[in-house]
Amino acid sequence: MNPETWLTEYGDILYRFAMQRAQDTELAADLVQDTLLAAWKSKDSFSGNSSVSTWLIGILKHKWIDYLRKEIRQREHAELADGDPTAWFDGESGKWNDQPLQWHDNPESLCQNEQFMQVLKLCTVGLPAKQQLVFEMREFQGLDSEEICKVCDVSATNLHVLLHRARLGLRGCLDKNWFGGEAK
Amino acid sequence: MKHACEKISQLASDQLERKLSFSERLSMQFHFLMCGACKHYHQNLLKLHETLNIKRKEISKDISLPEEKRSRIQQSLQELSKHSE
Repeated sequence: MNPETWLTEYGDILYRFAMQRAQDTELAADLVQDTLLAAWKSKDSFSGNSSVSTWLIGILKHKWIDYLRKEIRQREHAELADGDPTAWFDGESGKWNDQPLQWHDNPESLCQNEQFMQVLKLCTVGLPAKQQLVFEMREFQGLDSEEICKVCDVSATNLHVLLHRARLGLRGCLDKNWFGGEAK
Repeated sequence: MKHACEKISQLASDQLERKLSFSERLSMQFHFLMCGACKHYHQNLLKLHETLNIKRKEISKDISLPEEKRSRIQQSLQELSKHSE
């Protein structure tokens, strides 16, 4: 049990875990730092029942959830601006106002395409704040519905509606800014 | 059927979040027979989901803490240990 060696021994493991979630090198490094500082301060409480790496990852998970909660609080005010999903459909017929295009590219090539990933990021950032947050948690960070409900303190039904709206918005944005251009 | 596409698009999204009931799946598949737009939308959502799945797996391998960030963290740890002595 030597805190000085934690960074050497577990730095990469922690950073990888943080990057998988945050996908931002600065934020990921901050999370690793916060984790190690917190671990140092509470090193006496380490029981030895688990391995050091499991213990550190546990602290990192908490730090990540703290970060998300803070983000959520900041975005609560933006809630009113939530997109109106009915705008995507014709009120009379219930059909699409503009029809979704068929995306011909396969996932393997899409994820290698830096430009596409850039456009996807921009489209995500353009979503109403809460939709953006839950979509990022769900699809970029790979949390499951249940975890997100817990962190955000929303019901499953609410979460599913938010994700549905986010996906409608993204489809519109991607068709317009990416797939539409290719189809022409 | 009023608002059919809106409902089906919600189901298409829900399918990534929960297990759809038999009748939900049936109504979705039936709707796809008549509506190419919803069928494409459904396929696109699956594609996007899979794309980000692959991307995430890539991120998690082969990365290590960059040197300048490592030394920054080292410094803050040293400061902390100095204070607590």
